Amino acid sequence: MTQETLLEVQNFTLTIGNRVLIADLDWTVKVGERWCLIGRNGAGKSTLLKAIAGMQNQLYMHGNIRWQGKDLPLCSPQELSKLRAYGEQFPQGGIGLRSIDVVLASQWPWRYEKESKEFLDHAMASLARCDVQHLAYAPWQSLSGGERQRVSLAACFAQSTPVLILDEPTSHLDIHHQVTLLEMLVNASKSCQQTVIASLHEISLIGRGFTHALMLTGKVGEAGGYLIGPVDEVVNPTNLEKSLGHPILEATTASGVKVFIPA
Amino acid sequence: MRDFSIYGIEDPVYLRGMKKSPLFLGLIVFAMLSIAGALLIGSVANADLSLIYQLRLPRVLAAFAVGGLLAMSGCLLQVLTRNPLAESSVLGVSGGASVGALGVLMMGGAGTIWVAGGAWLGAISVLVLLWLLVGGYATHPSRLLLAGVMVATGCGAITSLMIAFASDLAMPGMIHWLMGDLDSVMSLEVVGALLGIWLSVLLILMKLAPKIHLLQLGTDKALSLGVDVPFIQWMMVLLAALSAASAVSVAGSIGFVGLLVPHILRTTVMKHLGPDQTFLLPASGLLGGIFLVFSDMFARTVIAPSQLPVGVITALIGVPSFLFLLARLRQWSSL
Repeated sequence: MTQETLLEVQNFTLTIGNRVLIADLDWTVKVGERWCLIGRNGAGKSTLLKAIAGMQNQLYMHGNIRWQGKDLPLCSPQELSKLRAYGEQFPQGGIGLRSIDVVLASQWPWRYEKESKEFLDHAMASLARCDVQHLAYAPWQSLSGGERQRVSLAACFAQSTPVLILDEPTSHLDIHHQVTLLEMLVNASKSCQQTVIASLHEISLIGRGFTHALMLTGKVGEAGGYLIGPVDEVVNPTNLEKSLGHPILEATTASGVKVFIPA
Repeated sequence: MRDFSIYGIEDPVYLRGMKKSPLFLGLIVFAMLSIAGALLIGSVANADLSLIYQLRLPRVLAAFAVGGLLAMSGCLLQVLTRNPLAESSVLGVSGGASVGALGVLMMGGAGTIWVAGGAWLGAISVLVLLWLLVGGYATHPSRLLLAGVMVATGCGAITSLMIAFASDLAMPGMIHWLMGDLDSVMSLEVVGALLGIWLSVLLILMKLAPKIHLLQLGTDKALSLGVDVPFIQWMMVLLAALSAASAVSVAGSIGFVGLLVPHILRTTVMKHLGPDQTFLLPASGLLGGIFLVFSDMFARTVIAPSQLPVGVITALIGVPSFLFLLARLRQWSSL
């Protein structure tokens, strides 16, 4: 298969204070791949995602990040905003904001390309995709954690970018919405070649649609290592235990999906 | 110009015939009417034209500009700090202006242009001091706000000290200034400068408003949408400080307008139309002006021929109306 290279990370080292979180990362993401990022708390998942999204302070990083062959520092914020959407771990809402305002605002990068009517239709469609269209005019402060997460994901979808970078998109979600979210990501990736890079704590979901995995194995006090590759090759109980620091068991469901559970 | 409805759209369910652009036009008309009304109503019933031109016109226009500047400054700080209680006095600008003005008054400079000059100098010194304290552009604005609160507290202490040491002759003037008043505004030049600042701040804000609107989603989200967040944040701090400094240097420390006006707009208009900063910021600039024109009108007519300090009136009108809104909209949890 000749897939176009989307993101290249070379010799990338991430440090915070004196701690080396990730050392010498070489990572290539191709169009249409779905990556999950696994690691324990404080392993550097969020920081890495922010770094490749172009939102991290340059002081803590060394190495090259290239989007579509172009060095990240050379990409303008406008270019990046049309290339990738970034889903926060803890989405924020301002004074008096409603769900629809959040989703409408995230279409800002396309303000010159589209007509006013399209924005609203697109926003409502995005909200419907995340099953929160009934909360469109609800104030942000009245939403539950999971609902906020879903509105925030709807905002990421509404940004209509070829790449989605999601920081723990499944946190706060109930089981049903976790599974439907993953199905949605898989469908979008298969039909529109959308690339997904998401950090994840729910290891039971890995088998449900991710194609590749990047597992951070760094521990406190040692230079950060990592395991990288297609899901079938790198995701196994031994490696998961290395990354998460807890024994992991593998099981196969009746429908043949491989799942991992903590032992 | 295209109508970018991404800044929040009209809510079809709660719309009730309200639209943003007619509302804005309505506010402009209302502002003009209030200025005209304030010019005509006064203690001297059949005032001749020269009296209106020499005394009332500067005062009414100054009230309008001061109110608008204070309201825009408060609105900006509320978005910037993500705190509905923020107001221009938190930056310490009013405090600096008080120290400057009281210094001049203590030295017997009452009634001269030096009072406004001293207040302006005090406000600007506080800004420069803050800038040096927090180390400039690269740091986060919350550092500046924290430093601002501290400087405001310090200025409050110095103000009390000055009053304690003031002569009996200077004391009434100093107290009067601290309560906030517009009766010292006499020259049309000062008013022209003030209106000029009001208009420039308003125009710059209208230009920046779409990005300020996006900042409500949090700095990370705004950054990922391509907004140059540090630049916008610092522009907001500078504009808020500049507006507050010019307003208090002319009118003394009039509190509360910056807190009240944006919240009146949020609880009434924004509830139906969404928290669209492209509307909220300029509308604050207008409604703040209207509010202070009316307050000042009351201040100089209620117990005519004597006058009340307008700062007292803003609080007397403002506090109950704000509490009323708060109580009536208890179910509206988005404050």
